[in-house]
Amino acid sequence: MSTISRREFVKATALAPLAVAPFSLGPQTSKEDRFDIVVAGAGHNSMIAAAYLAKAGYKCLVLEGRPMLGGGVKTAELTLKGFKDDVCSTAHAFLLDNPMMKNDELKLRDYGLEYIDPDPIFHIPFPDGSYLTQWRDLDRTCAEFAKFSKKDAAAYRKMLAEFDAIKPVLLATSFTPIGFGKPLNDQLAQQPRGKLWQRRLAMSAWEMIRDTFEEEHCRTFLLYMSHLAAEPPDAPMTGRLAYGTARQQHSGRPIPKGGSGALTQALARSIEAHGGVLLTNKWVKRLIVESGKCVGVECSDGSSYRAEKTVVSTIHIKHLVDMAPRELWGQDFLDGVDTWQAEHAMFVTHYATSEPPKFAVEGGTLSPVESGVLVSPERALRYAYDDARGVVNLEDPSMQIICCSVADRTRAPAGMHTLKVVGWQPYQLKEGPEHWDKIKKDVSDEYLKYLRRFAPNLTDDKILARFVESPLDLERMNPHFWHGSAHAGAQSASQSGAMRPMPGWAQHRMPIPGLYQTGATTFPGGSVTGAPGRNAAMVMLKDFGTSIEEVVNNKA
Amino acid sequence: MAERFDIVVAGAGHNSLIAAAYLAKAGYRCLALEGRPIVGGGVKSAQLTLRGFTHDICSSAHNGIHGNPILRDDELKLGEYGLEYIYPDPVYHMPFPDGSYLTQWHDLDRTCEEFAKFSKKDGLAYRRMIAEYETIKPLLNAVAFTPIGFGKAINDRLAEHPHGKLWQRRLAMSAWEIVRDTFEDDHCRAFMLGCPYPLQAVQDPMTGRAAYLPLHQQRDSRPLPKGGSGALTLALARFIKAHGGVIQTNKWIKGLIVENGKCTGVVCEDGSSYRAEKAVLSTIHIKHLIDMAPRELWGQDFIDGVDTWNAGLTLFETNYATTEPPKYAVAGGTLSPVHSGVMVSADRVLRMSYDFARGAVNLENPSIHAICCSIADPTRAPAGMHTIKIVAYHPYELKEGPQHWDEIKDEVSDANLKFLRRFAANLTDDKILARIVKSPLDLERMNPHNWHGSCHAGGSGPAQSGAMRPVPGWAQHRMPIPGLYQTGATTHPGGSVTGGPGRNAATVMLRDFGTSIEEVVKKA
Repeated sequence: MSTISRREFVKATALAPLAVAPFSLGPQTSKEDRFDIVVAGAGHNSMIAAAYLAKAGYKCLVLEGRPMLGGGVKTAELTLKGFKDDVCSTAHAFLLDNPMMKNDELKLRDYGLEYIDPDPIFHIPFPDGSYLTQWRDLDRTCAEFAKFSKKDAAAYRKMLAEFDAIKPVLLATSFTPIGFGKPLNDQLAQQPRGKLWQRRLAMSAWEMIRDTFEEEHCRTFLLYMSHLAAEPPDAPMTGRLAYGTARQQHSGRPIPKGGSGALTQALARSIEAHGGVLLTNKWVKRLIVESGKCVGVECSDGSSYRAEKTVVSTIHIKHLVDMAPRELWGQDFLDGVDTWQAEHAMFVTHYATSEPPKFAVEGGTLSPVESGVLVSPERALRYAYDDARGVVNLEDPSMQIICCSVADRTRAPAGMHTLKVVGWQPYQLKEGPEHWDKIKKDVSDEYLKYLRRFAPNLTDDKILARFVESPLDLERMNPHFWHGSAHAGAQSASQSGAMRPMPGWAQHRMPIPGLYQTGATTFPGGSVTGAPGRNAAMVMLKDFGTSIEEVVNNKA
Repeated sequence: MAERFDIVVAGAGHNSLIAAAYLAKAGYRCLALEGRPIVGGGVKSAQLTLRGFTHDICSSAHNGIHGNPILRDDELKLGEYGLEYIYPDPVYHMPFPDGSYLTQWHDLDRTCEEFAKFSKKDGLAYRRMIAEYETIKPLLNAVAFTPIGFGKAINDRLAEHPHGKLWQRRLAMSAWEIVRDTFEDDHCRAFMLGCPYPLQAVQDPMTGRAAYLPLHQQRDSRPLPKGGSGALTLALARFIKAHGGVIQTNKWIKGLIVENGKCTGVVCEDGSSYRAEKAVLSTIHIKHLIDMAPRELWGQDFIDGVDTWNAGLTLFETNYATTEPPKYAVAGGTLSPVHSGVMVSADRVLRMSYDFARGAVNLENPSIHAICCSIADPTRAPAGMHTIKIVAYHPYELKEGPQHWDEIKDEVSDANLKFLRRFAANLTDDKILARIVKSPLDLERMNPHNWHGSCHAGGSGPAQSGAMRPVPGWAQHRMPIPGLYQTGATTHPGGSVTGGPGRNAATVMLRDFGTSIEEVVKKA
């Protein structure tokens, strides 16, 4: 078993072949400035927290270890000049439900954020030549299901209506810090058919889908959308994921114009416009604790920064725990860190191409922004087994194919395309994670070879360059992707809700006074929701004697 | 004129009999109706193969019930009604394909040495794990033997425990994560997950407690009632009769009698009907119960809960009459334990839920649990003879449909035996006098409570546990139709021989009747 220490990581990144060109930042600060808040790590969540705090009038300093801000919400030229690749996240489906966007609380559009809503939303071709496309138009999507089963089309329409009825409750839970409102089960108890939803949410996505749809292609489509969260769809408590397709029927899978990183760039501009300062190449190495209180951070370049009010961390808890003496954390917290589990990891290849993937459809071809391959429900049911035993399974692998340049011409030179191919494989191989360095090129080749069965136009001559990221590379690239976890760790029952990051410490307040935690290790977890960021800001503002509502209503 | 009864009990499994026993002791006149010719449900023994061979029809070991106050505090003095337990030693034996083996002995040091054969570290880990488990066991027991809502919820209890936060995490983790992170050697891991396989997909979230099952049996062994598993239900039947109760067999319940919105009795297939002056207590599976009264009486929440009920993992059993017990090669000779099993690797354990989900019978190195009670209890078979039960794990829902079991069950049984012979080579054809094969479909036919083959009435994942068993909102044994109570494996804490659902149902009913189980227990 291998763990990468933070020090080793810093060393490794110096060697990592990541040609990341930083977007320009505002003027860098001098050491003498005083700050209320020091933010350790600049991912989208910590920047959202900082943006609210800056708007509230607190002077914020954001420190980022890499040359570029954004964490998992970052866009860079990974392959060739002029090709803007999303380094990790692409679609921001959940973010638009965050009150930050829904109520335009931070007016991020004024800072350059603009969304594109691709249509179709998602396309899955099947080995038998058939396909199922989800369109923004509900009737058109239902017609796609009806190609396979009229009953399933009706089931989809019914599922969507049922989900729409409960969605406000589920959303409100995500965007409320733990303990700030009633627990989900209590809220459901007050809803019509809330008891049914209690059961459904505790079931597995597979049980829900199997019992709702009769036809294999329809089941496969629904299962595909449910497994994007990197949880095995047959695991208990994944019932909500069965509604992934329904969830995006209305809101689509929006992408920021210019790249996923456009969000964090806009946040940076907002923070700066509110008196905040952002510094890159500042690896936080240690927390400064004085008289039992966290009062600042020390960076690996020897510099140190003090916070007059608090420190906000988005450092992965597996590393955070090494940044202060162990006795300060308490046994409960250490137990929580020790038992933290990684998730089913991603395996990513970025391509610069001269064509988008072209899938055969009736009357021609289709080139959607997002598409995926999953051959059958059975294939999805195998994930948990392969992951648990640490085996790379390339037999009919499921994959996600993303070609943003189809809808966003700014992503690539004229006529060219960026293509990201994502698969799911275990980080912990039987031979150890280092084995990934030996096999990653072959694994990437296999994925492409398999993709060509569905998009045969992607021949070698269409591929100008590629950049492969194994689960191990993902961890090297960003220590927050602990053991290859793009969501910081499994979002399973033991690491969800009041147990994220660990039982007793889910309210963003850490065991060391003056230290708050945000990012994907906190509720409600990974992916681009901004909820851990806004929720952390809510807790902090309350502790400071104000509230997020007051800050938002302050028009200044 | 018909006799009058306070309580009519629909179905006579060990849980409904336990509830009836407490109610009878409290002075209520109870009538228990059983559809089959003998009482007991899943806790029943009978001569399935040849005369003189007493086989356990479903359950054999009675682990869970040893933590139940009914036995722990001897609340019903069942010993006086003929119940006697045997505590086999060794507890469990697992041979591996490489010729090595791991034996769990009643003596902790001896068991730790067995782990240490493979890894010194794992020997220590096992000792540490049992010490940790001992600190939390009373709390877990208290939760199982308290009706939902009658005490604090488990998470609230854990919050007050010194290591409660860690246990909150552990219980929500998967058994596989805990075993993998605690043990380094594959034999030790396979043993921990397969001695025997816990009927839950061990890599599923919320199965953490299953990682501690081997430790549970470290203290209590895997106890057998002398004379057969059914000795428990026979003792309960005697107790009920001694307290004025009546038990009738061959009485299949066909419907509930509901008058003025209240359940007041039951109607049987043979046309007879029985009225209850206080309450009807059902242990009929909820999938069948719901058809026994007009649908509108149940309410939509309850119907939704029944519709979404899932079966869980299922067993495949073969009972043999033999002239020898299984003999496993060990250092210096052979060993013939009551309980033994084969799980060739951790990998093989992890594959089981995948095979179940896709409806495939996987006979490659199948997981086997073998039970030979006659070694410790000679009353089970004629002198020098033995009863052996071989349990395997196969899905009810085959791709070809469950009826396909009738075509393949004999071959599947043969394959399981052939595999076991790799470890117990003495079990040749000439040692086998007779067998009876029960596919998951047969198990359902044999007992409708084994719905879709599930011996625990249904899956025991989080969607069907605690306050969600059998249905969210209806976990307190009181059913939507007033006057009707539910017990048995579809209620908290679920299946297997714990008696928890039975004693908990009695606790709820006695409170509703204005008394309490404590008062009843104190009664002479």
